[in-house]
Amino acid sequence: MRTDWYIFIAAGVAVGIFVYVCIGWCLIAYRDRSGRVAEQFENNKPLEILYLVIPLLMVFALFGVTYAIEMPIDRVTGPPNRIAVTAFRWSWRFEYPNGTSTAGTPTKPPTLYLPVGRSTQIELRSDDVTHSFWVPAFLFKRDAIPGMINVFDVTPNRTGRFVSRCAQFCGLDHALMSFVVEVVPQSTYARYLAGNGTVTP
Amino acid sequence: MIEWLTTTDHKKIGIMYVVFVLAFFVIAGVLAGLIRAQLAVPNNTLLGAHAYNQVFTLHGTAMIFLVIAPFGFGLANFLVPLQIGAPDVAFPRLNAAGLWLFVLGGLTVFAGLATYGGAAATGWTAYAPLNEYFVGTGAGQDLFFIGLLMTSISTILTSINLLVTVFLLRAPGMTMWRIPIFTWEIVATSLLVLMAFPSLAAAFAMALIDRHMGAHFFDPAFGGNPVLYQHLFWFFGHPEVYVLILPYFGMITEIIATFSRKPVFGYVGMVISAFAIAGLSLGVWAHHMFTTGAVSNPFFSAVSFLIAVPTGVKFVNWIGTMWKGAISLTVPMLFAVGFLLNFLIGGITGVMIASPPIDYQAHDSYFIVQHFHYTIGGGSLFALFGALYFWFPKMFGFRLDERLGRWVFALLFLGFNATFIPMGFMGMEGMARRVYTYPAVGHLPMLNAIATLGSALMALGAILFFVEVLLAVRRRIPAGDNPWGAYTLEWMTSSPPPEFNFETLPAVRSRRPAL
Amino acid sequence: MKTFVGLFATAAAFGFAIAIAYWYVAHKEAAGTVLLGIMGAALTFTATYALAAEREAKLEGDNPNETNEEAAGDVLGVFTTQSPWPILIAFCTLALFVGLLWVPVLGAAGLVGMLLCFWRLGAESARV
Repeated sequence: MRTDWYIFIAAGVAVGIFVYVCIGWCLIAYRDRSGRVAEQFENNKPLEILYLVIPLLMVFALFGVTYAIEMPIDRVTGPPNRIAVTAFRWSWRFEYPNGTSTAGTPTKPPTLYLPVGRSTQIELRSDDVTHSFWVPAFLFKRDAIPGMINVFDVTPNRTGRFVSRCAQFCGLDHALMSFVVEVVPQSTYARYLAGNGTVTP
Repeated sequence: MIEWLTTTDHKKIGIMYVVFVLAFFVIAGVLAGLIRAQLAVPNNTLLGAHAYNQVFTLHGTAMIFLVIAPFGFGLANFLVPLQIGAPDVAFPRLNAAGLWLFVLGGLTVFAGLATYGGAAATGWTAYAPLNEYFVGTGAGQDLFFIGLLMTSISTILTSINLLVTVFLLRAPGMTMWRIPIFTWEIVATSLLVLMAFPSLAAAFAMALIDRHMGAHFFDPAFGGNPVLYQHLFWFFGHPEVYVLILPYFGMITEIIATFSRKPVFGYVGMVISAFAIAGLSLGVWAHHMFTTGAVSNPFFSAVSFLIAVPTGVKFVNWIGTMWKGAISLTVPMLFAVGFLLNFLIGGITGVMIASPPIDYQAHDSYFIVQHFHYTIGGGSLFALFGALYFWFPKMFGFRLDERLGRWVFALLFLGFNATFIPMGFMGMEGMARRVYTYPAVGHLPMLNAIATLGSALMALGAILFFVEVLLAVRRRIPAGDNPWGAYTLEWMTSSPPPEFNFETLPAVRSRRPAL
Repeated sequence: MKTFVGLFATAAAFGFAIAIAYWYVAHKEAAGTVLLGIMGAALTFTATYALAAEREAKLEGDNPNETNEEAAGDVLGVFTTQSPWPILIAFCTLALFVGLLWVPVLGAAGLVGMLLCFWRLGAESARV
């Protein structure tokens, strides 16, 4: 997913520089000095067709890149490790496969444990209003909408502690609705589950 | 005074639109200042959570519905009859009704501040089911819906009025393909309003019915669907942002052509691209909903990318208009150039977030806040100021000071960029939007501090602008019919124009009748 | 006028085209399909009216070589300069909304006021 960002930033910078140079050129070269007469032309058919076609090709390419990168992200493969995440005003509840359940408060954000190198399926629900499950380190968010269950897979590839938060405005303490995603080695994760949440990795 | 309250003269109505818009702009600007003051440092206690939530809701609502949108229509009110050689708009009394509905509607939204639970605090988007929650007695939220229903009615009526005016009241010789680009953009905008605003009215009416009459349109516990609100809202919401920019594209086109001393490059391309943008904008609404998992991301991503193409056509046409011209950097032209530089960044970030994998990170973060401020603030707002400097002499008969105007531009341009460039990085670092505070991690404290300083510069620029207006009113340096040497029909009558606009209508034989 | 017809006809065709494309791609998602479809229908309605109206209309603006002398004498419409009714209509609208939600008496007053305003608007048009 980082690739998507890099490609688009590169394209954006290239287009930006090109346009800024054109504008700068006009402002400098065609400045109204004494005796300057403006050339009165209204169109240039070949040029107009060119700058219709080139951006069209560019956006086709960008869409192709987007589609190729997005499809794997959105695909749900149904791995065995399933965690039910429920958002409520204003914190989170995580329910693990073996029944372990932890919930947080705005002042004590909860921690979501994920095993590294394995796929985990997250089932996202909301108890009240629309929230959003955002892990900036994963470059990913998905909304938690009441009446709907959003399902997605995550496969973390490195361990660490990642501060995450709610991204959809949900009222008073939306700003405090954060949580932590902690990606741990698979053995640690297994121990956590076995200890029913009492053992903190 | 009674004369102004009961006038149906489009010029007076246009001026009143501008005055009320500027008043709402000051209020919304103060609200922005409060936001930046609260976010200047992490864990600030200047504003509590509920106060802050009202502040950003009112800031967004006011800027969008009470400043940027009505200025486009207000200027159109003043300008379109003059540009096509008509004595007034087709329905002058409907025009006046539109103005007063806008004013009353705006005041109604702010009246929420006087209620027990405070004003609306859901963001200007007022998503369901959040919009059905009561804080205190909740009347502020209802006043928000009522006020915006009134402004929506105003906009729809004004759009109908302008469309009929342009179609039926053109002067002899003023064929559709000779009307100025600003008037074409208004035609496209008006058409868009007719297609999109009913959806907003429906969304808000349904929310009110849910809140007061026991319905459950958006309540999942009874079979309703919160996503339906999002569909209805964004079916309006995305065309709305093009309503917020198309008139300003028109203003910029007139200014650039005038100060490059050239005809508009690619006139036909400009017209077609305006309608392409308007049409495509009706098919992209769910790119605001990529993260809901409830819409076809590829469809909306593809159409969103497509919209970049006609916008690009306009950009090249503006550069083409400047190319080999004789460019004089008057204050309106400075604002036009500022528009080009700023709006490009807004457009590029827009193309980025049209890609769902990027949007999965950027959505609801400060990256989005940067994007829409660059398009609406760096784009429309700069064009607004450019238009004010450009058409001020025509409206009032005297000029604004050029030298002070350069200072206003410099402060606004530097301040604007200093405020909003950091926000892209804030978003990428994980700062969500609509938060009353943030933790002291990473670069967030530094970036927010820079943004707050930038906003102070902008405030200075805005204050200087109002000082300049007061000075101009005192000095009254006469402007003459055509102080800028511009080409369109409005510059061929006196400043300000007489009642029913033209003593004698000039013969219109080209796109540049004043030449 | 021809531009008027062309504009709405093209827009109507576009509306239907995108409604069908959306219906196909978005698995018949109801809200979007209905909205786009109704939009196409409304535009067709307007385009048809424009077509009918165009047959009878002769706009001086449409002739690129028309002069003021040729166009003089056309009645363009009712152009008032002052009218108290628009601002009253705005107040009545507010009263209607507030009345619907909270104060029925105010709503009734708003309704009566609205009727009064439109009655007097009609009389005003007849006078001008």
